[in-house]
Amino acid sequence: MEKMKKIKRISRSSFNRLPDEIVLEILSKLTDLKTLCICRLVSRRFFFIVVKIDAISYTAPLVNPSYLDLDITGNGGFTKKLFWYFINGVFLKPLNLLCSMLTAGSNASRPPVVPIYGQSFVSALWSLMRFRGLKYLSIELPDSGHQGVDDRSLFKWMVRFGTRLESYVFLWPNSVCDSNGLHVNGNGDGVGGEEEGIALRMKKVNVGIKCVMDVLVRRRMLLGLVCNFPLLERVCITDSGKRGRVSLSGGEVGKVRDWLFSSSETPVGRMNIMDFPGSTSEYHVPILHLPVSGFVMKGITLVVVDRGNLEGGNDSFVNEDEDGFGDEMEAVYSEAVMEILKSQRGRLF
Amino acid sequence: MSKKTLTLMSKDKQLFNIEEHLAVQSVTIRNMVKEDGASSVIPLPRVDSETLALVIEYLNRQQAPEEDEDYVKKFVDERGEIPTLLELAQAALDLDIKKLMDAACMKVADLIKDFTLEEVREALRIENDRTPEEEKAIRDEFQWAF
Repeated sequence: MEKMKKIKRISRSSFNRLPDEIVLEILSKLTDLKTLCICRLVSRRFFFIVVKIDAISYTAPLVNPSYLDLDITGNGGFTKKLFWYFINGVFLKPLNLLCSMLTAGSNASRPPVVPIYGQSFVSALWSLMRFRGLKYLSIELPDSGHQGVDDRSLFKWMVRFGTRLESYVFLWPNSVCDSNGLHVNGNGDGVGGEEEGIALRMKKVNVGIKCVMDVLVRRRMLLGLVCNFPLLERVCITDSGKRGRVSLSGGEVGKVRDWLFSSSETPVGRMNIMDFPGSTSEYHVPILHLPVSGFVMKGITLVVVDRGNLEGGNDSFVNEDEDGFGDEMEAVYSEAVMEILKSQRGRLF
Repeated sequence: MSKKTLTLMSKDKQLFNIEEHLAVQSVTIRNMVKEDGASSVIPLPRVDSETLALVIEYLNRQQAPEEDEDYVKKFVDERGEIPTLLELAQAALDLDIKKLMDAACMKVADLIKDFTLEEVREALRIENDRTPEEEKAIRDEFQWAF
């Protein structure tokens, strides 16, 4: 009986060649870049079927992003004055540094990446370049590992951009409780609610600024992807800690692509424009009751960098960017941003 | 009015009866019925009897439409052997039963996603048609994936 079964299986395998349709159908359900690259090795036929895949996701391995070595805060204490100086003036220095890393040796055939996430990441992106017909792409980067940040840090950021960066919002509550008073994310260590020290505030704002680096790197990466994949319809770059994401989809992708290719400049030249919004506000709110979700946040730090258009009654901001926070807490964080802007509007620190 | 029955014949000449209104879930059979009434036996030269029995079982399911998704998933889950699933996927392709093909391919993808290169080859019955040198060159390009 056992033998019969074996013979049958062998005869099946020698007579039946899997049709291309089935191979493509199976492979297109794999989506993971690594698995797909292994499949490209299976045989010559597979090699040519695999590149027809149009939806891919890639999770970068854990590495320490190397740009964190840049000392962007200086050695001295991080006072409020220094903060402003930093944001509006000195900000350009690390940006230029970053810019040079992003653009080193730019040419059109280069993969749309930066060497920040390690050699393996660069190789992976090179492999990705083979999939010319790509329509849907999602990349998950490792947590940025900013100093002073751990799993219990509850911050998220949100960025809005099309052809230029419109706004950046960073929200870090010390604690978040749902309507039943239960702590979310296990952060029940009682830091929240207390009048927080200036050191803690500064630390939070500092992280908020470091996350701007994440945003810039990711946006540059994303522009590179839009430039290199002519059929791309949806692209999203997230991180393993779900801190924030940059994404483009639908008509936005087309608009950005047109913009990249529509000038006498090279697309790379356009990508490298770091046109960062100039208006920065910082808010600290000890306690916030959210009327819609019923959540309560304590010890909130909010940093808003924009073009001055978030103030003055632009309530549609959060709705327009409804996929900004990208997980189940999205609505809660968005609501908090909206509430704070509503009540604190015009009260700059 | 009695329900009309169709007869399907597998690669190994076994006959299977199925009611016409169930059989026409297969777009291939539906088109045949439209063309010539399909009064005679419908031959399926690429589908063996074991697989055809499974397809018939699937077509005969009595599921409420809203439970159908779950049913198809469970149906292929219970037949989780890759060779069986591949036969099923091919039969579903020939007969043009999209849901069944999707589910079978999905299951195969699920099973092979953590396989090594050699395991993928074995599972999908693919012979390596590259020389060791060619393979090494490609392997070098995808070094990061191993």
